[in-house]
Amino acid sequence: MREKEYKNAFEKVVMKDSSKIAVRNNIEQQTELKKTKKYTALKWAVATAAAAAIICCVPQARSGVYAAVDYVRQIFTFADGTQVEIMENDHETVGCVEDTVLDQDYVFEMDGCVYFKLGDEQKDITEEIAQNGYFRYEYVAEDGNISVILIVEDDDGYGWAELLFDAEGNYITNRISVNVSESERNDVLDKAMHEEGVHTGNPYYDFGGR
Amino acid sequence: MEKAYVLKLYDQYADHVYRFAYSYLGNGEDAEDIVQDVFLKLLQKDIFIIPEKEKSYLMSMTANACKDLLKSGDVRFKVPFDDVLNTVLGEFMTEQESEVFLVLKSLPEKYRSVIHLHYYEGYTIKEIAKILKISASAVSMRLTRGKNELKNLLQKEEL
Repeated sequence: MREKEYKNAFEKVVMKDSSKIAVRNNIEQQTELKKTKKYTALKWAVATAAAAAIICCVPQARSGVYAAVDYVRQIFTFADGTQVEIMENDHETVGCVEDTVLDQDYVFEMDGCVYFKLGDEQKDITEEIAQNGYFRYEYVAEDGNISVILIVEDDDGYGWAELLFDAEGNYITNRISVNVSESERNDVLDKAMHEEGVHTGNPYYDFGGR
Repeated sequence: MEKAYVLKLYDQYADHVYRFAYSYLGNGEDAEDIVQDVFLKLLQKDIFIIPEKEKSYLMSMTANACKDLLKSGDVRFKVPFDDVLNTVLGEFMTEQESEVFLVLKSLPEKYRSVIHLHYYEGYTIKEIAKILKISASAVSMRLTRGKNELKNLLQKEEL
């Protein structure tokens, strides 16, 4: 099947006009979110965030002092140069907007081996993953912020998670690119994150642990 | 999010959302539900979307909504793509175009979504990885496997 046939076939797949109008009317009749509740609606979790604009999960507890009404905005940078802007107020509700500068995967496979890649650095991590279950890499940025990158096996090969800490070791946020199936958890990743002292979303580790 | 903005995005991208949901779920009724679900959810969000990322953001919301629907088990029990084949076969589609749906019927939805985003929407592997929240290597693998399966299915059809 050629691309052109696929495109032509799907070009003819459209919503019925009546349905399109009905949905539009439903949207028009809905009440939009009021601006006074601007941040209380923002509950970020990795499972629900859309990758294009929102990429991180910010922990509930966060050290710092914030103005009661105004919000604090800070920009942080991941190891590959991707920047994230975090906005917070004292309702513990945050929003993030991603501005991708460099777009790369930290892991790739070639000729049966698994490689970690960051910028010009590339390393065969096949043995390390086989022995330890996962690969861990720590990157310290010029501003002292620390990225801990974890490479784990996932349902389609290998995925990665990046945990961002500030220079004092306070956990800021994470971004995760790990494919999970119906079980929706990657136990190796959960354990690795737990060992870094961060919230995993897995109650076994967050409220008990091994 | 402002209603006027959401409606503008709806007018611009509703068909794209519908087609992607259709490729994922295989029936028009569920795809219509997804379109409504996505834009109503968007109305309740208070975020800023970078303008050139609006469509990919909507694709990502669509993928999440489709996954949730499949997990919930509420997908209408229908043979995938039968509604298209039964209504438009021989009417608006060429034989090659209707063959597309005949072979898609047998393809797992995780391959269908990647193939649709690549073939129809023209996204790169890295862009698809971000939309579906999976690694680029997973996208690459699904695309390769999906194309191979399509090739095998098409060869069977010819026989």
